[in-house]
Amino acid sequence: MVHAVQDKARERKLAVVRTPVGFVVAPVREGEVLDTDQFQKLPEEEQRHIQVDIAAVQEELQAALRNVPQLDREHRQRVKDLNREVALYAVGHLLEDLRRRYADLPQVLAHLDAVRADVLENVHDFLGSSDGEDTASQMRKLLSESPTLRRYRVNVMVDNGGAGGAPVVEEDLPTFANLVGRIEHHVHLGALLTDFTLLRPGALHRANGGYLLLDARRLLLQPFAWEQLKRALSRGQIRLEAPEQIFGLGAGATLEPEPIPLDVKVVLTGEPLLYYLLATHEPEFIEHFKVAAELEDDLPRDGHELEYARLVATLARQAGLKALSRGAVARVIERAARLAGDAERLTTRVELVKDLLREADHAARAAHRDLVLREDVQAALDAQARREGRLREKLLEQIVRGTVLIDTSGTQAGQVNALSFHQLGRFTFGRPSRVTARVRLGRGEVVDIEREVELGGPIHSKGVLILASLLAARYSPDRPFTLSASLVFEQSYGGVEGDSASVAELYALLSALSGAAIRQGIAVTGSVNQLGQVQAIGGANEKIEGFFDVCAERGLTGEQGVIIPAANAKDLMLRPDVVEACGRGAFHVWAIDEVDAGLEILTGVTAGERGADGRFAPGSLNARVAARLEDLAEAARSYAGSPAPPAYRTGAARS
Amino acid sequence: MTPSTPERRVLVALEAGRPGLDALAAAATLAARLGAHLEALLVEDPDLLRAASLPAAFQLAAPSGAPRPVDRDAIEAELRAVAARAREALAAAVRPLGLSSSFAVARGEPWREVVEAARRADLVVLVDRGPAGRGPAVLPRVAALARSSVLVLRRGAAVGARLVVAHDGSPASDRALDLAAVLAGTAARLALLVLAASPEEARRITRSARLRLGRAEDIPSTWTGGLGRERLLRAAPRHGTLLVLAAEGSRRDLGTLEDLVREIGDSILLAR
Repeated sequence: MVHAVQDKARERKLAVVRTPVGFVVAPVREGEVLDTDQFQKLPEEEQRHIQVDIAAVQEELQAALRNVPQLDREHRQRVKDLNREVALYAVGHLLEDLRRRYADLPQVLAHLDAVRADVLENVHDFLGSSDGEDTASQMRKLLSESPTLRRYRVNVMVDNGGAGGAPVVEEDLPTFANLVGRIEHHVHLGALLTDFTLLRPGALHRANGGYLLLDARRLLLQPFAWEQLKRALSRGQIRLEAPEQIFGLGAGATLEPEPIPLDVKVVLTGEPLLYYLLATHEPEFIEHFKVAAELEDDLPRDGHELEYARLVATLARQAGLKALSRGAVARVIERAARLAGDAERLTTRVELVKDLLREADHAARAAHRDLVLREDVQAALDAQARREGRLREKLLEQIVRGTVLIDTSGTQAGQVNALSFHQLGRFTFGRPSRVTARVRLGRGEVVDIEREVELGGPIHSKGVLILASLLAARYSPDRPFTLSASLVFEQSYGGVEGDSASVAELYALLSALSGAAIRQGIAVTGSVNQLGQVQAIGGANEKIEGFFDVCAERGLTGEQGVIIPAANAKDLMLRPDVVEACGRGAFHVWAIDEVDAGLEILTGVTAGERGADGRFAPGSLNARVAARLEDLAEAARSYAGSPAPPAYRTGAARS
Repeated sequence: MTPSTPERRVLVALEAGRPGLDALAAAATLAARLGAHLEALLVEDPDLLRAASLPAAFQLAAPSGAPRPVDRDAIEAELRAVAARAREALAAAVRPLGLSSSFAVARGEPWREVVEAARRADLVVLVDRGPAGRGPAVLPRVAALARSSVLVLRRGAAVGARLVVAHDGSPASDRALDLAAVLAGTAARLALLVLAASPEEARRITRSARLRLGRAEDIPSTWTGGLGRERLLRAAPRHGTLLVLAAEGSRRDLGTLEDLVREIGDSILLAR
């Protein structure tokens, strides 16, 4: 419009001269603005005309300038519209491509619509020097340099694009943040700030639509992790929240992202005990974890040895170890049975097997062999035993040197070698302990000295009480049981628990009562019930080997051995040296299922059965026990001054 | 003794009426790339003073249009203020680049003053701010008469943008290409617009230009599709690019420089 005024001014021989702050209208002659002298030389009439013309042009110019703000606004609006149009042309087809790709995801479409609207509204943010770069480079530069454009970024939380199936995620550190994700912050002018690009996914995000594997114990050890997992499973949503927000702590800026729908199968692994505890004490546990699968620690050996051999070969191959010979595999399987504590089963604790394979491989490499042989496996086992067996060696030394009293030859009444089982970490071993018994007239009680001094556990005490009942019922069924006996684990300064020594304690008592001497070259393990049946115990292999080692140190005589419950015979997976000694008769293992059998082995005296007359066979060991108890009852009666009841209705004859 | 090289000079011309101080930053950038001295010339049109000294002269303020009396003294004060602002803007533009600079004020007919000052410069930078008032437009006159290269900056144009060199295979085009290469700072900002009658000729010119710059294939090239003014105007790039054109020599019927500058309507560098 100013230009139009300039053209009109030119027709009137005037010029619109631009000054630093505005415009001045002046007369022009021959291409130059008139100065004061030239103007005043003009005729007055012409001067008046010029003044009138100048006033008219000024008025038009004023009118034009008054329109400038409006024109400026219109201009800016038109520029803005043009920019929007160009921007829409530039990005519209790109967004359309995306819209077609995500047509089945309405939330993505809504987001793309919002992005397009926002780009058009803020198109000026994208205008700048292209600096000779291509569009993609310019966009990357813009997004990285311009904080206001961060809102267009995409924070890829999970990308399963390359996955062939449902995701299977194992989170070995299931912390609160590792499960549900976290909101990171950056420091700006001393304040903690965040935005959506700082949201980080958790295992639940990565496993969404698939499976999440967690170690139950680790999960429970992480603060708030279990609660957050339950919350996510209950709601079927992942809520990404900062812990400080949940617990009302902290004042930094944070976000509250929209919850993400969750569809995941969570697999918790752990010890059975943990499952039972959670099922008992955590009401929501069963609600969320409905399927329980308990895995066996071992599997049947019969029919599975070949599969186990394949497992051993696979483990060796996966670990990059040398191949195993047949003998080596056989030795590993023997070890697996030993670890299972049962000759008819094989352990499924493959980590232990892998450790053995690695060590056997090392032994083979040290011997420059391409194949792991049986002797390499044995060397590995021996090395393990050496490394972990310091305490066992110490105890053995104390026995051999006579510090701990254990006889392995000769006979002694009221004294028997019992066997105990010890576990130190992964290492287990057995050792003999001397059990002694003393009897006298009393009030029908068997005193467990361990219990009296609070060194005996409840199961051990139970075993001793069973002995009292067994003695009374078996040998003194219709007379007062007037025995007072005491039992003690000699040189035992720690606690005694378990009932696996109850057979040994019974033999010590019977020996004390009958006066029959017990062979000290034999050790006994097993528990006994009120009917005199011998029951299975744990650690049979370790116990046998423990006594064998003591005997071997002192020299095997051929008279030594261990009495075990017959029920434990299937558990035997003894060391090769023990098996070898047994094979040549230098050591023995006797399996019994009732106490009389063991009595005869220990004393060499017939135990004796109760006859039709209700009495034990004369001269038998049981008859001697019954007679001793009868004597004690008689003595008790005479002390009390009351008439003696008949011992048996048919009369009695003592042997 | 090392022979001294004549110092390069970049002249940025500013009109007192519409100084266009934003050109100073662009001129400083180019001076830095050329390793040149930057000279700013503020031209005061005597018509301003004559108009203000007339009896009962009024000035209409821009953009409000408010009238107020004006006289020679008031205009002189305004011109001094403009000069002070221009001096400060020049100092701010050269300071971060470590350039040497000078500032001068001339009073006279603008195009004559600029053409006269351009005798001492290798490159003249002008800002095109539309039609200028009553006299002949400064920009086409300077473009046509200056012996140095002339850069006409449109408002808002940036010198960091891509430089497109119009090349017709002439020696003058080669000189334009050389200047553009220096001003671009990097070959990544260069492109060719080949003025040729046939595709074969266009390929030959392109190959020759690339060889001249020591680049094989990585300088993009566009053929105008033929010769003549219309072809050039149609193929000339827009929006943020700087067209570099040989101001002399064979221009293949491009018409007068005055017209060409007006019709291109975008920043243009006339290389000499």
